[in-house]
Amino acid sequence: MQLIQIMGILISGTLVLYAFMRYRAKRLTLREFILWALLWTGVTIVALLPNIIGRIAGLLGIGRGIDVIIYLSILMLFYLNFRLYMKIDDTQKDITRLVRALALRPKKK
Amino acid sequence: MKTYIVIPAYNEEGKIGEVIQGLIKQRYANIVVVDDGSTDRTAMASSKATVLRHAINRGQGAALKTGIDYALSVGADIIVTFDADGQHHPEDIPALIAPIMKRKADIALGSRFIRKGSNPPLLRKLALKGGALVFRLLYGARLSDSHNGLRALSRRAASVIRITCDDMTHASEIIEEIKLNKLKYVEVPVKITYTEYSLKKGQSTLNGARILFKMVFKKLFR
Repeated sequence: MQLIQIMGILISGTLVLYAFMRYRAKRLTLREFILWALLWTGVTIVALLPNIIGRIAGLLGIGRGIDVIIYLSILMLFYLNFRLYMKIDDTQKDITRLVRALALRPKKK
Repeated sequence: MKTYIVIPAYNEEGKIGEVIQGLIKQRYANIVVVDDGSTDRTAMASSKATVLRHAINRGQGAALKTGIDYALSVGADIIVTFDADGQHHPEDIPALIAPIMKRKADIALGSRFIRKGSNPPLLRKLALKGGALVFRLLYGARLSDSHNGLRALSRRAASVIRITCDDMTHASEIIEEIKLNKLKYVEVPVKITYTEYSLKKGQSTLNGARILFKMVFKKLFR
């Protein structure tokens, strides 16, 4: 086993555990926990069996395994970025609503 | 009919007092200044008007909506939006509200291009005309001017128009809402006086490009 594999397993394993603890402490919802757990379990599997990526690449018709990872990562980053953008937009609107409600409060004499 | 003048203001301590005086001189009694989180003494300088204060700066669209909501809540029949930087003239208001009083229109938009007298710098003129072209392409509204802060709204128009864009994009949003709600609109000639002050405080032409991007984005995704 290569050093990179061991590191991958240790890091992703720790992160699954961390996510679980956060879920236990009710800082994550069940859905969020499952999402994180799936992501890091995926990383663990790839670390254990690196050839699996090559197979997926072959199935998809992409040249190399590493390319699959890069494409997926870029897609995911775009998606997360979009979600973040929407979330900030919502937050901005909430702040405006709050500021407006305060401005329209009847003045105390 | 009760007419309310709504003035969004952000750091306008130097000019706002004069603007309010000018309106009072023309016998407009219901003046609402929305101090959009100014860091200067805009609120103090506006003491002759009703002042609503945003605790944090939220942008002109947000301030306008606050003022409009307030005016509606106190029973305004007509709401005039007016800029705080002195580029508008109170003398233009009667012509602006006339079509609404006569129920010929739900909203009257000031246009600086119908009659001569305004002196926009060339680049500004091009940007505004470009904006008008975009309105025509996106919303099918034929206008001679775009992004003019001087408008008059009937109570009905003010109630149905939803301003959700906090920043300057609201000006485009209003046109979009007019079309969506099938409101009747007219353009009324008004004079805009460009001073060094108003140009410095106003929108950069470059910002127009950003607004255009936002408008197209909104049209695509909502």
